[in-house]
Order: sequence, then structure tokens, then C-alpha cells
Amino acid sequence: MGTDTRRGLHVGVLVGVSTVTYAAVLAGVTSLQSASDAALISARDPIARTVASVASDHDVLERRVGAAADRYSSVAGEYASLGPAIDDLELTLDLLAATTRRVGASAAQLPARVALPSVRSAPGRLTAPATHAVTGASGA
Amino acid sequence: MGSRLRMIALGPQAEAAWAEVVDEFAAADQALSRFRDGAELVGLDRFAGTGVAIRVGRRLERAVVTADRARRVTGGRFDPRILGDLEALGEHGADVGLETQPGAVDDDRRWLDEPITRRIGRGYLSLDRPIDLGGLGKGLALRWAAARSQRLGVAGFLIDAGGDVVVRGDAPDRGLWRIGIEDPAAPTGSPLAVVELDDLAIATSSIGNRRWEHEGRSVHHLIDPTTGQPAWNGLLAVTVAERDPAWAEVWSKTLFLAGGMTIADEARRRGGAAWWVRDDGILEMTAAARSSTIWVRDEAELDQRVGPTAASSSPRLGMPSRAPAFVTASDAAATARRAASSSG
Repeated sequence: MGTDTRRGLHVGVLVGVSTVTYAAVLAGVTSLQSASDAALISARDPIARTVASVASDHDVLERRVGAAADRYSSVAGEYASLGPAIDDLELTLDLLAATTRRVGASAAQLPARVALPSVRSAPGRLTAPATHAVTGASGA
Repeated sequence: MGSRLRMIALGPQAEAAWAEVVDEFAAADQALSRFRDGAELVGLDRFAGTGVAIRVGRRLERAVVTADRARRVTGGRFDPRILGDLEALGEHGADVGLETQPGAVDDDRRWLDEPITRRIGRGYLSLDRPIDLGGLGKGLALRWAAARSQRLGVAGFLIDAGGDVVVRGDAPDRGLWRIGIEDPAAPTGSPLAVVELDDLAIATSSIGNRRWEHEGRSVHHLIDPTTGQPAWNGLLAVTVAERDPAWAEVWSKTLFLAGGMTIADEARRRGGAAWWVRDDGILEMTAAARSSTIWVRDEAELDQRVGPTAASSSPRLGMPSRAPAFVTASDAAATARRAASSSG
């Protein structure tokens, strides 16, 4: 009887101890898991900020590309409207070139020298005008 | 100052102005001449290199300071410290005791970068080397004489000091003053050109005069300060017109020392009116000079040759198929010379 009583006590103690041990181990594991999660979150924080910044820059870039596309469309439209004017200019240049060729051909048929009639000129006076003084070697 | 002095003046103050001019030149000669034994400059030169400061009058002080400024402005090409060189070449002035001054004649010319004078207070000067104020002195005398004449209220006048001329106001015919530029090859003959001046001065540096033989070679008075020797550089004469007669002297000599190869570029860079005669007798000038030149002998001779009769008998002077758009006076003169030599 006495032995059965102690066995029951021992079993109770053993169960108690096991429970406490389990609880302690569980608490430790939970604590370690918590610390690990906190470290992971802390390590990922800069990456998250960078991702957010890249996303923001991407938005800005997208807006600029859109604006450039709009501008390109506008310029392309204007260039297309200039096409007829350029065609007219090229036609005018062709006409000018043809005229220049005709002038060149006519000039080539002109004589290299043209005999001019004698012209009575009034030659400059050979003697010097009267002067008030003469500048020159002074001797001093 | 060894030069013939002449004045044309208008108005009732003409006689008084002439008296002022004569007085001024006498005073300037007493202060600035290196040929007069009792001149102030000679006394100053005698103490050159001794470190002794001499008390001098206003004219000599002004002249030495102007000479030093001219040395700086011209980059050292104008430098009056050539007295020893002139004496060594045989052009003697009053005795300043050069033989007792160390390095006064033969030296390494390291002094070229140094100032000409040290001013020890107002009115006191000290020289390291003796100087010859020469043409600059005459230019300053002209400046001072003109100022004294103007103060008398003379309406118009011309002062001619041996070829350096200053004019102010109207000429006698109420027009501009007409000045001839002497032909250095024939000083007494027809001028090379005639220019009209208005309130200007004109000066010429020429080797048409003051040439002599020394130890079997021909030398002259225009000394290159960097070598101490006469400058034979392809030029016979240089004439410059400036407002101030002293600076006309400075620039005529400076441009002469530039030499025939570079004078055109230097004169153009400097601006202003300048005429020069190359050693082949050709007269050239700056654009500013051309605008005040009313007659050029070479051009007049060319006009005579290509006149009505010559034009038909001289095919060399006919219009070429590709005529140059612009002919300079020197080109025209060269053409005339070629025509003359071929016909003669």
C-alpha cells in the first residue's frame, strides 16, 4: 500500500516535471523564433525601401516616356506638314541650277578681253601740293 | 637742340608766341642736351652708376620719367641708355666720363629690364647708366612750346623743329596743315607724300641723315638697345602722327626698330597713322595714315604713266582679264617701276 502511494506520487512528480520541462523548452523555442523573425524583418527593411524608391522612379520615368512620345508625335506631324514645302524648295533649286548652267555657258562664250575706248582721264598732279612743313631726318 | 626752329602762327599774338617758343627751346636745350657741356643732363650723366642722386629741374625730371614710361610702354624697344653705344660708334657729345663708369660701353645689357632712373624724392634723380634723350627731348620741347603758345590764345600755329612738327588750330588758309614726308634717299627733293593734319604732331625717325663711317663701316644714330648697334633692318624711315609730339617721337623710333619684316603688323596692331619707307624706296602706310594722305608721289607718277596716251601704247598696264579688286600704293608703284624699266 505504501509502495503504491509513493508510485502515484512519483508519477505525479514525473508528469509535473515533464510538463514544466516541456513548457520551458516551448518558451525557449518561441523566444528564439521571435528573435529570428525580428532580425529578418530588420534585415529586409532597406530592401523594401529601395523597392519602393525604384517603383517611384519607374513611375516618373514612365510619365517622361509618355511625354516624349507625345512630343515625338507632335514633331512627326509637323515634319509631315513640311514635306510639300521641301518638295517646292527642291524644285526651285533644280530650276536655279539649270539657270546657273545656262549663265555659265553664256559666260564661257564671252571674250576674255574687251577693248575699251580711250578715256581722257585727269591724272593726279605730278608735283606735290604746297606744304607748310616737311617731316624727315632731323639730325637730332 | 641742333635743329632748325621755325614757326607759322596766326593772329596778333604770333610775335609773342614765337618768343615763347624760342625761350622754351633754349630752356629745353639747357636741360636736355647731351652736347652742351653745362647742360643739366650732362651733369646727371656724369654721376650715373655712382648711386648719387642729383637735384634736377622740372624739365629734366619730366623727360627722364617720360623716357622710362616709354621704355615700359614699348616693351623696352625704346630705351635712352644708348649713350655709351653712340660714343663707342664715334658720335661724341659732352664728356660725361664714360671711361670711368664701369660697364658703360661694353656690357651684357642685363640692365634692359631695369628702370632707367630711381627717383629719390621730388626733384632728385639717380641713374645707373648714362642716357641720351635725343629725339624725345625735342618732342618734349615741342610739347611744352605748343602749350605755351596755346596759352597765349594763338588761333593756329605750326612749330617745326628740324622735321618734327606740331600743329594746332587752323592753317593760314583756314584749312588743315599740309606736311610733306621727306624722301630719305633725296631729302632735298620732292616729298614722298603729303598729309593733312589737324591738331596733331608728326615725327620721323630716319637714317637719311646722321650717318657716318666708323672703323670702315657705315653706322647711324638709330641704335637698337638690345644689341647696342645701329639697326639695319630693311627700313629707311618711319613717320608717325600722334596728338603729342613726344610720343610721336617715341613711336617713330619704336616702329623703326621693329624692322621691315614686322613693322606692318606692329603698326596695324598699334593703330594710328604711320608711314614707312622700305630700303627699296617703297612708301607704305597704315589705313589711318592713308585717310590723311592727300598726295603720294608714286601714285602721281603712275597716274601720269597710265594717262590718255600711255594707256593705248602700254599694253602691260592694260586691264587684265582677272583684275585685282584692290591695288595698294606700293603695288601701283611697283607696276609703274616695271613699266618704266621695260620702256627705258
